[in-house]
Amino acid sequence: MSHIATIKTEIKDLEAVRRACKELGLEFKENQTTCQFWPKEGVAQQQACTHAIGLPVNSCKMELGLLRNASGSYDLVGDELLMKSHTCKDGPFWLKHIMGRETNPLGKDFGRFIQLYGAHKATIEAQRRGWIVRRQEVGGKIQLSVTGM
Amino acid sequence: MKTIQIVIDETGQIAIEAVGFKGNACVAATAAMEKALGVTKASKKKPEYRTEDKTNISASN
Repeated sequence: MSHIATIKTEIKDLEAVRRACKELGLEFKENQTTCQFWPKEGVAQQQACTHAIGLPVNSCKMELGLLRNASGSYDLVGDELLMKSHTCKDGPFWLKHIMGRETNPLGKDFGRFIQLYGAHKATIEAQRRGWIVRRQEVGGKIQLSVTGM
Repeated sequence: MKTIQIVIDETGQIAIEAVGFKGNACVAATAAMEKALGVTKASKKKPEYRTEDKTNISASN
């Protein structure tokens, strides 16, 4: 019998968050309870969070927040324009300057970050059980092949 | 060979498939992983080719 399940990723494991941040070149600021972003040009805003993530910036401080919710997992909070932008064409003018690159490394709706979190979390869980994990990326998707059970 | 295939798409949605397990062992193999990763939205079983049945048919012929 083979079994297929579809899962909506929930962010729960801070070690997996750390590894995703490292892979994206982001700074994980554990226990920092405010995060800063820019809802209006020239006007910084602080938002409450449980932990913060610093983005590689050239000229201003931009952060995401991880906010613990009622179920014990974390919601991502951050700049709405950043979240919706994938490339400089559809993003605010400051996107390229903030990230120093042409595309948003976090992905639209922070999808890339969540994807990497999922990959690292699955890897942690498999390796905890002594299983072997092989990872590859194909067509924008991350594939893990787990054996050894 | 028993394998668990995990595919994470660009939105972070995860598909897990356990292959090569007998009976309901596939469900047990992935249950803990599914719970650790998030909320299971959909789940289905696929019957695999049963080598035991084919062996019995050949022996009877």
